[in-house]
Amino acid sequence: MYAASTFILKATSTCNLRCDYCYMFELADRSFEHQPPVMGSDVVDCTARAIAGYCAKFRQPKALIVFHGGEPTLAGQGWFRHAVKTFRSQMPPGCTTSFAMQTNGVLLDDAWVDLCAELGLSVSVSLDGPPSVHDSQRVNAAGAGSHHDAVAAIERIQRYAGMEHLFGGVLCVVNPNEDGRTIYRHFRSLGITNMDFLLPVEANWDHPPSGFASPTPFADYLISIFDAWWSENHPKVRIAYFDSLLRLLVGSRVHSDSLGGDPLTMIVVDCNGSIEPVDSLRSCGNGFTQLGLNTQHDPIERAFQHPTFQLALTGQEGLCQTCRECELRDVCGGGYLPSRFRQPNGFDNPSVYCTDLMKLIHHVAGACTHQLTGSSQ
Amino acid sequence: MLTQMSVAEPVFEKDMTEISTKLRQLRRLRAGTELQPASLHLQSALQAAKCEPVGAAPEVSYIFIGIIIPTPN
Repeated sequence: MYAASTFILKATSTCNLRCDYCYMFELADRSFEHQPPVMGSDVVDCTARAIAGYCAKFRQPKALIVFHGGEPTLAGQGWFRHAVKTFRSQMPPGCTTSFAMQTNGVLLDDAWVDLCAELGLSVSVSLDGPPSVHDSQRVNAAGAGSHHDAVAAIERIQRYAGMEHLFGGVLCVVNPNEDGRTIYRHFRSLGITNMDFLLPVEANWDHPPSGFASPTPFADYLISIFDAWWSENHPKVRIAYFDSLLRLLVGSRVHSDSLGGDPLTMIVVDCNGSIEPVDSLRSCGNGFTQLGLNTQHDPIERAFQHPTFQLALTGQEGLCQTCRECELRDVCGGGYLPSRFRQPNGFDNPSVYCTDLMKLIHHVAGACTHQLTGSSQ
Repeated sequence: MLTQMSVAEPVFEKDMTEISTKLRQLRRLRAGTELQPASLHLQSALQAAKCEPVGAAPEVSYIFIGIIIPTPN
């Protein structure tokens, strides 16, 4: 039996921004049209019971409950009080449970930050860089950028004294039209020490990235960030993607859906209680993540038997022949699962970012070995 | 103008032997070398790897579906 410890709850299926790369609302999947805008309290209760039951049955020592959306703050503060209280009362003793939220920051005023601190909720904010970058895609329905609000939210969280874990960091979608160093410097100028970078989910072999002069635009962007981070050499500045990469290069195992190749055991619960696998797979087709299971009448572990979920569980074993024969297999793990997709053979392909990943991994490995052996990169 | 990338561009083929060597060098570090790289990030990765029994289930859980997961170290 696979051990799930990360549970993502879709608190809402609506958003106050209209980011054109959003896999929830702007790509192939339209399942949000059939979801309630906010997860009902009865669904929260059933979901808490289902997850608590799973953790008790399989003696999970820890669980992470992540509130996601859409934009989760649209559910309201009362919803969050109820949800966290319900989970805390349901989770079995011996299972250390923590809570996190990913938000665009638009609604995150002082009252929200106070509530997150009170509930022990770690908050991560989506930020794509300075206004010229962020506001080109992260806009509201009227087309106005959200950078000002996102940064204001970050500053509110940062001002909260004595709560280091309150701020999970920023998540940035890679935009190769920009210089990665500019992005990194912007984040550092805001005092941000935890950041992560996400390759655009919308790209796969049916819709490959296009319009770039470089054959490796994503690697170029990430390498410039890596170099800035590496040369700053500040032990408290953490970039999850590079931390994972370094650990994989020295032979560790890392549980990630973008690197590595261990089975993905995270569970997503949509607003109506639907139990689903990693939800970025929504980018592969309308209804792609629908398993026909629901926390209101199915145990969590039933999801693991579903063929769609099995795609995420196969890890290294599910890689295509090209990847299995590749020297970098243990590091990249085939890359992000949705990025391998192509009709009609599904995920039996390398990542559409394969060339970028190879270049990036080669660069990072070179930087490491250069320090250890004095050899050139 | 790039419209479709081919997988494992031949430009990288000549580098595969080199990267194999680099990977082997890096993985040997986990076996107990006392080398202290100047990079604090690499030191941290090595330290984490040394504390992790070979074959152990991964502790770190970074996920990329729009969430940053707080990590223990």
